[in-house]
Amino acid sequence: MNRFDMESFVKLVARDKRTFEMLRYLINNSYIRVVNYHNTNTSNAERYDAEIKYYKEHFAPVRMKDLDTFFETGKWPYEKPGLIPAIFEGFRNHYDVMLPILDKYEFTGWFYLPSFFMDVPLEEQLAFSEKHELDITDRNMYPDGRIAMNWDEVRDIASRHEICCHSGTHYEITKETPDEDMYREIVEAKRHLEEKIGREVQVFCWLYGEEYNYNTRAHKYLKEAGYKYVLSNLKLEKIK
Amino acid sequence: MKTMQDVLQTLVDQDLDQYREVIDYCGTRVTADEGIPAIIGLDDLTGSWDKTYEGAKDDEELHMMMAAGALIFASLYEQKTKEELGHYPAIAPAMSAVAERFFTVDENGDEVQYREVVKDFLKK
Amino acid sequence: MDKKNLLEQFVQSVAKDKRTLEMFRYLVNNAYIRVVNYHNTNDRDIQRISREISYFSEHFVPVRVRDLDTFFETGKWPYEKPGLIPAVFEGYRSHFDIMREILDRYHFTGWFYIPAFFSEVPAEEQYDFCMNHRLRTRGEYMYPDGRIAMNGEEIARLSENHEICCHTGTHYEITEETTDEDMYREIVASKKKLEEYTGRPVDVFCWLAGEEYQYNKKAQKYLRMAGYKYVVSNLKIEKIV
Repeated sequence: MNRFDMESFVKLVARDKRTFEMLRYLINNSYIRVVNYHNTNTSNAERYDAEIKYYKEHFAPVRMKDLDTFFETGKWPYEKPGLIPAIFEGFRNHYDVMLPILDKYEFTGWFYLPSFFMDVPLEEQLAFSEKHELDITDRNMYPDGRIAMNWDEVRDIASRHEICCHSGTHYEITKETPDEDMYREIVEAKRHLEEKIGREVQVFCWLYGEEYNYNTRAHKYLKEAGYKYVLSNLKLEKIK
Repeated sequence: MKTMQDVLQTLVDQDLDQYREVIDYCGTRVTADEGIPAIIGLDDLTGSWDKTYEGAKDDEELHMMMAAGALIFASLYEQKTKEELGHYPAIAPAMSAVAERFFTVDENGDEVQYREVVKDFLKK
Repeated sequence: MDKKNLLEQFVQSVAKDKRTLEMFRYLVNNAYIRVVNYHNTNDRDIQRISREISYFSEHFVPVRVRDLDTFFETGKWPYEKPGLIPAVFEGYRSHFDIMREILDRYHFTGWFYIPAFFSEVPAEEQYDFCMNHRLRTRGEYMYPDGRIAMNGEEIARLSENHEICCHTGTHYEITEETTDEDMYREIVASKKKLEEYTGRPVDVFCWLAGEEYQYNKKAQKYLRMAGYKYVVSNLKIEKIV
């Protein structure tokens, strides 16, 4: 497609259902910016500082209640667009490096935690992370071997940021996942997190970002758990 | 400020190299360690089929450019192979490329790319 | 209004409803089929309907459920000519007497969407049943004995050359609030009834008011339990297994 040819262009964009869905979200103002973070190592602290500082100047931080308002009124409640720093996996370096930066600029982070990762004994955490695709990029940062946040740290974050459930054990839930695994990774994962932080958890996030309608078997469990939103890599869907 | 018409015009004028350059840049990012921008849809599955929204004032015109840009990026990613795309559908990296290319606008109304935000930290 | 604004306005209006872009995509990707919907097929309309079916038979191929199977399996429409489905709704007796005869004359396949339990209603109650179940018919002038619905035997004979599809049990609007018992009757038991008549599997289910598969999450369980292959709504035929 070096010379522009409308027909092949349209055919290419029509290949995937989701392309038109995304087009529609953008046209209808139903979208939000997200910046995804995984490891936040000390070596990159200055870079994160520059990013969060920039967000603070150009965007509004987003709380869960802002989304509730948006869906209720059909209107984004601020002049500035919203931006969500989405911080995945519950690594200890989030607490040590990312949290102080977010707090410094009073910007809200959304922390996606595999709820059972925090319970893994120190000496097993590295093996657990390897087994469950929780990729650690700086293995020397913590000589004591604790790479996950502990519950005190999570509770501290929960007091001023959003905590979301990213399954129980960083588990890929597919259409073939047995019922008991679905229950553990969707329902028990939420309850465990809530028990530990003393606050309701409203957002569930799949691994590999499949959307709500992709996995109809999981609907039952998402409903039973009582989630309000499902996050996938293309959408944040309000399901109740 | 550019409109969707302008972006589509750009496309008709065959200036896809800018978009390809953004795609190449996106391919060099380290997702495990870097902030990776994306734009995701907000969808109320409990609402009606034709629910529309009013966005932030600062995004009033940018969103149409992003919409046109999403189609262009999607069409370019659709030409890649399954191996190149990995886990995700073409529209997923396309949305990340849109966020990179149209992250925000400066006081002149020109779009600011995300890499501007981290320009001091880019690998040479 | 200048051209620029027209384009923006155009784009905004087509993006308003999720389904508009979906339909656009089906058309671009060749994933669509022509359907002509019929309800009453009375004797005064024989000539008009004959003309239509004759035209269809010249310009289109008739469609069997197995052609859809092939289409979804191979991603390719298996004929030179596009397909067309005359969709005949409500299981009226006039479909057997009039529509079937016309379709057979032109060797064209009809898809008959039948509320399964309509056939079991006693003749003298059928008119009232129609009035109570949103079956818009004035068939009473055609049949002095009062029987408006096809009976089981007619449905069985119709199924020899045509597709029999389930259009609920009692022309019932299934919503998210419909009770489990009603869902079972209208989705599962209704299919069994039609299969009892025809001795063949009924693969297609069609809602009232044409909501699509994803619309009713609760009904999905019953559609799966019944074993339907396709769900027809007013915008789509969706393959669900």
